[in-house]
Amino acid sequence: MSIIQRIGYRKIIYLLVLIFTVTPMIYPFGLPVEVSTQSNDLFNYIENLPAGSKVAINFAAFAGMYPDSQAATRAVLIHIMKRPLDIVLWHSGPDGPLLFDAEMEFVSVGDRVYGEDHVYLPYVGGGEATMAAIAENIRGVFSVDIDGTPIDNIPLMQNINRAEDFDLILVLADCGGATEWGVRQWNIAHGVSVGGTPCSISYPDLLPFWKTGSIIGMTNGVRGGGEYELLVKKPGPGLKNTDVMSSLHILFIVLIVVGNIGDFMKRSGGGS
Amino acid sequence: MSDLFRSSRIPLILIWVAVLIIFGDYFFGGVFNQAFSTLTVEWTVIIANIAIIVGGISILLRSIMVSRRSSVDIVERIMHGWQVVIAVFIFAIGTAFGTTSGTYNWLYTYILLPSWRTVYTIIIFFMATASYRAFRARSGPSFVMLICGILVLLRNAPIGMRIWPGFYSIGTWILDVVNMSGGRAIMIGSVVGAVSLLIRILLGKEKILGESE
Repeated sequence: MSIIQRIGYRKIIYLLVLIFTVTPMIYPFGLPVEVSTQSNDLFNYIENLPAGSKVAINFAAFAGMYPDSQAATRAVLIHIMKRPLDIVLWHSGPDGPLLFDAEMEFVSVGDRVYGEDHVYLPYVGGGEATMAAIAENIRGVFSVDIDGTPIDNIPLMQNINRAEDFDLILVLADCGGATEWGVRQWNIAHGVSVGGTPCSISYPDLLPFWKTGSIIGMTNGVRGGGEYELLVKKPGPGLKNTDVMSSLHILFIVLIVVGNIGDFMKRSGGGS
Repeated sequence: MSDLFRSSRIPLILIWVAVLIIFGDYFFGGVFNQAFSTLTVEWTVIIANIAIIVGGISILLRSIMVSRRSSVDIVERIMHGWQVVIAVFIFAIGTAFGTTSGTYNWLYTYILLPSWRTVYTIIIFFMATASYRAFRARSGPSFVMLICGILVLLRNAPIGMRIWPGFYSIGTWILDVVNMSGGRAIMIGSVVGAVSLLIRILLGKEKILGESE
């Protein structure tokens, strides 16, 4: 009986995953990251929005998958808060308000005034239907902001009531279709451009929308976070985690190749 | 009267009304159509949020039922009972102190968040063993899929570019061209399917809620 059989291949793989995850955390490789066209498009679109443009943000994060798009979300928030844009943010996930509060500890709002330059609205369930309802009539869905202030008493909300009042909608930290809701309910129905920071599993599904121009730009999970951190010149967890991603991807490829060689040898009678 | 409620007529009439209102606004516009459409969509949000409450209650009731069933394994009963205790406790804290209070925030940040993240992070270990055991090139299509998967992995990881810069271009081409064309086909197919399902529902050919045998 070989040593691998005695220990069990699962335990060896688990140990390898641990080593390949921890090593780059302790000794970062600092590999250069190529900025993708999609991330660049998102950055340029936000950068070129005229001062005073209105941006809607759907913070779609939920705790489990959030780490994948956290770096990109933070970098986009840093970027958008730095620009003189009017921001209306709401949550489509129950975890949203608490995750957003934690995120804002790393994002400076500068000399922005709450209520005049940005407004945070609470969580409302209902998914795509809610997205559609907000596009039709914000006051039909929200009567107060996250602190309980009636939105009619908030200066920024005086001239905002439907999708047409916005220049862009950003869907941040989406892992379950919220960006597609944005495309269907805000872009197709009302012509508002959509951008976002989806996690890697949603990213390939959204590429067709980017190609047609419905999505003006987006990031791709952890890697996209690293790219956007480079664009806003704020290195953070995204760039650090791309090293972990590199080492784990190499491990996965090696495991796939070894597994296939073993399988091929077994089938061709070369192994037992 | 009870037959009327049991039959599929009422849900069908409601679906017809909702469809006509939404389609009327989308294709013909007008203030009247828009007002009705907005009202319908707002009601959808209300119903969806009520459904969340109903869902929460039904999960809770099911857990109470399972935890009291003697035929169920003792560990499972304890797990369900524990789930009920935790849910009621967090609900009580949220109701008493508010969901933005420090107590609720502490529960979320130091109990729920780490547990949730741990559960999701453990998946990476299963993915690693799966990549060794399950991703097999046993046929032509599976071989192509495996190669595409490896190339996209190398495209996404910055190390791929360090090994050979071409990996980035090839991976991007797979994502932007091959994946996109396939994705579009699936998307168009699913939308055509949804439209045909809607037509079947409207014509009463599809079994819907409230229909009795």
